Amino acid sequence: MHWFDSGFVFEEVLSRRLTGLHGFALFVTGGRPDRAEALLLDVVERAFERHLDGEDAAAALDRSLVTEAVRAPEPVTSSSNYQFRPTPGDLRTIPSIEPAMLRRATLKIPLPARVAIWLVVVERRTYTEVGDLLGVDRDGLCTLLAWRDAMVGLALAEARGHDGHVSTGS
Amino acid sequence: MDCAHARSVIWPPDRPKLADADLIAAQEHVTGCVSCRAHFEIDRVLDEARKGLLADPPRREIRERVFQATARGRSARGIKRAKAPKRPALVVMLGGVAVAGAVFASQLVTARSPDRHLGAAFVDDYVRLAVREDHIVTSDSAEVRRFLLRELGTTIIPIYAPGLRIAGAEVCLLRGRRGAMIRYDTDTGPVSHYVIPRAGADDRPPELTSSPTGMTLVTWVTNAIEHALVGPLSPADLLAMAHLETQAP
Repeated sequence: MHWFDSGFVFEEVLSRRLTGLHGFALFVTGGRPDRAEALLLDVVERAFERHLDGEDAAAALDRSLVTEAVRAPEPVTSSSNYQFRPTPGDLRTIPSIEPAMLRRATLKIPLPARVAIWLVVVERRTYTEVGDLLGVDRDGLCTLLAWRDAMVGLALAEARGHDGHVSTGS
Repeated sequence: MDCAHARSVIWPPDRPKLADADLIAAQEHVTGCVSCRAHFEIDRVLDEARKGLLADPPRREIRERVFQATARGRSARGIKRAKAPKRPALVVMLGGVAVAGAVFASQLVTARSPDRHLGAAFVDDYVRLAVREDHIVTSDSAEVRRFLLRELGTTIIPIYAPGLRIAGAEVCLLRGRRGAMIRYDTDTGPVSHYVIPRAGADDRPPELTSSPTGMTLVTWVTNAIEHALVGPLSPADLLAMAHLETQAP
């Protein structure tokens, strides 16, 4: 929960966070607007129910964001044991990673990892906060966050004109 | 210290932290750890794309659907308006304007839905506030006209009068109907000019109405557009403003 969200009614908190929630929905749905918008509505409606049942607006949004994203599972579209770690050379020569490339790359990684990456890497929340939200310990969270490297590798591959599949040699 | 602990202590790396023993130990670990250095280097590379991911607002229609869902939720549970935190006193007058706007909203549907009460308008007011990102801040009347044409699909000309300065315009929803509010600044305070397109509405000359707050409201209809003026001006001044609009070419 952000400190500036406290003391405001639900719609005010929602208004302030709506662009971020939409970005989250696009991220976990691989950038497909129809699915993202459906997810966004689900998150907001569920959060609003929680809020009317007495939960703080920001906390209700956070909790619904996690539960609704994972409740509407999306099959991982490639092998879930995909491994890629960009080398320093990769990072020195990258053309540019566009947001859309990252969104498409998320389709190749598990849903809980997408949620964790969004909260930690994109929103810059602390490990402790996200661990509590996801119900995982620090090691579990680090395991989820390790998928970030695979996501970046896929986005880099696309940026270089490959089809998004990078040989791991295995 | 292991990698997971070091990263969790340092994260997020772009925010200042108290340099306690734990942080110093974490930084020493990262300095000597190839894997952790690569971890934070990737984060640096991602920074631009990360900002792009956070700056993608939903379409206007989705934004409205989201807030209509919360408005429906409140109505379904019989909640007119949640208790808002205390606001500075100067907002009281703006609150009066909102109530007067709600009266205008109730007038919009009185003929069709006499059973709807004023309270429901507060829900709409929430929506109006919630969609206020669809707005412009400008003193240029041509810019306001372009904004209204784009948002409402019809030409609406702001009122010209001595001492009346255009301050901006924003989209509003009143009783589920999409409209806009043009804001003017005057020496005695802000004046709100609501415009709600309503196909088939008969022209009606400006008339005075009082809101529960005692604030004066002038409403009229021209060219299938419902108008309302609300503000701290005298009734005569508000009526004069309204007549200027009706006489505009």
